[in-house]
Amino acid sequence: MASAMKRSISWRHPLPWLAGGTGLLAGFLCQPMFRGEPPTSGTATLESGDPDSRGKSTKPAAAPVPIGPATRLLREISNATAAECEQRVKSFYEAREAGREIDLEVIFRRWLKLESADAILAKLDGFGGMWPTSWNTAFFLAWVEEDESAAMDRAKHPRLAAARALFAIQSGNPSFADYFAGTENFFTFEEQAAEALTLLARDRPDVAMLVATAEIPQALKAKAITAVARGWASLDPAAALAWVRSLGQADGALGAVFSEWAKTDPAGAGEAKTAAGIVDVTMGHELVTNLALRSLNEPRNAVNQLSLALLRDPFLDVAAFHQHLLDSGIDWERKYFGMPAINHDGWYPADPEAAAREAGSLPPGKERDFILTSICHNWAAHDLDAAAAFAKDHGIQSSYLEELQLEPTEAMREAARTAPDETFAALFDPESDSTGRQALYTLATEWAAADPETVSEWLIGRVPADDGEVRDTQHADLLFSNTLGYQWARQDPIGASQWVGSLPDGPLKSRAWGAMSERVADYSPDLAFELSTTLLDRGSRMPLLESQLKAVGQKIGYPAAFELLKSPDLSEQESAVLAESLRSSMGAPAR
Amino acid sequence: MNTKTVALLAAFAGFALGLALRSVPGHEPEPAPEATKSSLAPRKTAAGKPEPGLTMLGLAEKAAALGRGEWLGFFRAQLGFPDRARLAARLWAESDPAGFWRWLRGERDEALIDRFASDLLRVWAGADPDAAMNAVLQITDKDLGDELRREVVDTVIERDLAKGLELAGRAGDFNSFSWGPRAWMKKDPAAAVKGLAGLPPVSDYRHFLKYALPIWAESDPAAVLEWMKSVRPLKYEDWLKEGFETAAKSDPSAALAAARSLADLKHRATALGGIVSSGKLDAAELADVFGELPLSISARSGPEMIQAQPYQTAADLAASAALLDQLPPGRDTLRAVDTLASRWSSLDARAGWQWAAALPDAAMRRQAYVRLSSDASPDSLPPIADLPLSDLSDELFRKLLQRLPGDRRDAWIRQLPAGHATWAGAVRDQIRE
Repeated sequence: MASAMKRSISWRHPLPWLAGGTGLLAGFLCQPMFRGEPPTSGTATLESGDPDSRGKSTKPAAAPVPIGPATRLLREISNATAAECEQRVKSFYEAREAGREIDLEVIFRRWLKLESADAILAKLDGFGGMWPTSWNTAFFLAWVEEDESAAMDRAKHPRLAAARALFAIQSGNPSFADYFAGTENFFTFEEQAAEALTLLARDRPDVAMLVATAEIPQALKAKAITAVARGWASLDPAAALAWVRSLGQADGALGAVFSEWAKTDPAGAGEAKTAAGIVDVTMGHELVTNLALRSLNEPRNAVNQLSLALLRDPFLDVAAFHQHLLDSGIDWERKYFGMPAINHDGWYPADPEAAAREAGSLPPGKERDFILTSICHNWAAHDLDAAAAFAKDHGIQSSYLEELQLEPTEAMREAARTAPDETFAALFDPESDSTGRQALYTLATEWAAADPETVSEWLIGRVPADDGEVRDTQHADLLFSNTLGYQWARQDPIGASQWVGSLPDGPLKSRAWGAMSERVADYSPDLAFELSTTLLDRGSRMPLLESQLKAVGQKIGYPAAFELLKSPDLSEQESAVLAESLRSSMGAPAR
Repeated sequence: MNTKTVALLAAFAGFALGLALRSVPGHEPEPAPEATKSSLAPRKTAAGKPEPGLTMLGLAEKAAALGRGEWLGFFRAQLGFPDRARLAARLWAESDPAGFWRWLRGERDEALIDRFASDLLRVWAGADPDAAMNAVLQITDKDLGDELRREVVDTVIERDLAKGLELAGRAGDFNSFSWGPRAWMKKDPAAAVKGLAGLPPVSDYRHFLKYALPIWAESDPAAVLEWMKSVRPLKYEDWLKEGFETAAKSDPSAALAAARSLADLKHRATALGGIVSSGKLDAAELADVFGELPLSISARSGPEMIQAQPYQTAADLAASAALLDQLPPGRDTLRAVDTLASRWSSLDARAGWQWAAALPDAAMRRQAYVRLSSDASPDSLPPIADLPLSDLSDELFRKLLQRLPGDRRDAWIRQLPAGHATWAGAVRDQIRE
């Protein structure tokens, strides 16, 4: 049967050959389609052709991808006139929308085909107002594309100095530092230059390192060296370390090298640090990096390890956090407190409730507790009650949460207003349970800030009139000086002094004046001295009088101080002692 | 099998063979390089120009035909070229932001995130705000998370206030960032204010109330006053001040009535402080308001107001002097005295000296005399011989002596009363040293 079949085929017939050849050609030509690629010939350019006719029929049917605004803009702009380009740029300028640099560059590229750079910049000036500095880069990059030698001419258009310098770095120009002159007024230049240098150092450390010998301002150079060290160290930390050490004093750069090194090889980084005899690599670094670098010295510290893990992975999730702690052999004999990331740097799950649920299902252990504590501390800023309840349910002890819970509530404020004696009783009773005194103190200081005179009157009533000795709690003593001094005498020294003068003579009066005298002296040193001579009993007042009189001499003048010694409220002996003291403080020989 | 069948088979076989054939040189798709850190640095080709045929539109057209699985290779091939990388990033963000984000996140490379994440999120947030926010909520590094969550919220809130505020409510806490008026507040200031006030306490976007409220108050002060009567700011918030200050500029009486109706004493004081700062109250109203204000506000806001006035005439100075009389003396009032004395010195030094002599206590008078002496003419120095010793100071003598040429100082000192002369001589000796 097979031979019969063979016989039936006519190998001389041209049709099979033609069909095979056509199939071969078709198969070859269809290669891109089967790879899901567009045809590689006839690519439209910005400057020519009908862009709309391209690409439409070549998209793989299996994975259609929508055309985005950038592509649409590129198509639209390819035939735009100079006036249309100007109008488009103007509309961006008026809208001031952030993140439109690419769109602007596209338009500038087209515009520069039609008008000179000088003419376009003159038109931009005509828009009025302040042209955003960041948009200079869009123009500059378009100009570079059009005429690089003209664009890189430092004599032209100083407003482009920063963009020119950044481009010099980005393009690996060994003379990049020559372009730094004139960039001083660009607010973000240092930051952008640092980013660009970090990238350059990864690819061309030999070029990036030239910044160390460049003639640029010292502050900029320090940042630039750090940036280069960071980029280089991300690929070759040992080489970067050798370079940084060859430069001498460069704390920031040293920290950058070890920070990169610690990300990939903390053990190696630690060994290199020891071998180089470096004690501290944490100088000049932001908090997270700083703590992460401390892990080189203290690898079994949980807070340091958390920072290191976060430095390696800004997306560190609960599971990875847990695994990292397990892997790090943390010394759990120590207690750790890391500042919550609220208002700080650090680990911050923005949805702490969800993070807490996830962490709650981790295997019990010190690692889990550390993570739960961390979450609850952040959660407290969102919902203190929920965080505290969750912590309690999971056996988490936190003095931080306890302190937050002691913050005065609205109900406590209301009670303080209507019944202060009962509300604040514990403040004045040393025998009472100290729990909650801090909250009472906070509440009382709030009240004192709102109405210091009333609170002063009330406080005086709490202290036995026949005995000015302090027998209440430390919080009450603080409240006394805070209210009479900081809240009242600081803001109304004359009114507060007059009130003290109206108090009955005795230890209580002395205590009240003691709380105020420093604040009154801040306003008027001579008045404070005079009041001390009338308000304080003779006997124990000399140290205060001496210091107040010296303050008069120093702040007003010594003649004024000597004049005060004529006061009839001073005894002859007091005057003599004070005069002697004053003369010695003047540096004059004692007579 | 007939010839036609054989031809058909040959056609299929040829097609298959054609597909399998190695591409001719120059026709092969660009190989995607391995994404190593060393390949990420922007650079240009050796010739200094991008490769021919890869202009921006060419790149975009090529990208427009990519399947999702091909984006990574395509993008990596552009990374070494600054202009193409930026555009390619934009195109990928517009085409498949989730895919781009997945790759960026997986790279764990700070430099890549710095370079591309903000632009990607801006584009993504414009197209799918919830997806963009969900993505950035996965960041647990506070610093980076703050920056990128703000990027998403700021992008959305510019276009859709309600949606932006909803996202801000999910975004949690931010560390400090620059506040100020924003364009989105101006489109519908009432909605902006009400939305901001409804954000959870942890949201730092609530700070924008300080800026949105005055914008609303400029356009509709009556409505703002009504709203402020019904709202309770959080414990540490004081944006009522800005709201009442702006509303009072249009209608101080209505603002005063609204402020006085506030039951909460702290909020009432904040509101009255704002009205004082508006500068729209007359002397009698000011006296009343200072009587109502707690010391902590009157002691600060009164002097601030005096220092902020543009003094053109002696009458302006007299008005502020009257206000000063109503304030409790303190360190802040000394600064106000300094300001007034300085203006008197420019306008009418002699009248200023008379004003200073009438100040109620020696601390104020000393401050005023020093300032009035700072610019005194050497030919007509102020009459200090009549001053009591308690009104003099080292600083006063220093200023006066410095106004005189060195050869006239001794003569000036000799004509002073004995106590004054002794003091002035001591200061002269200090200057010489």
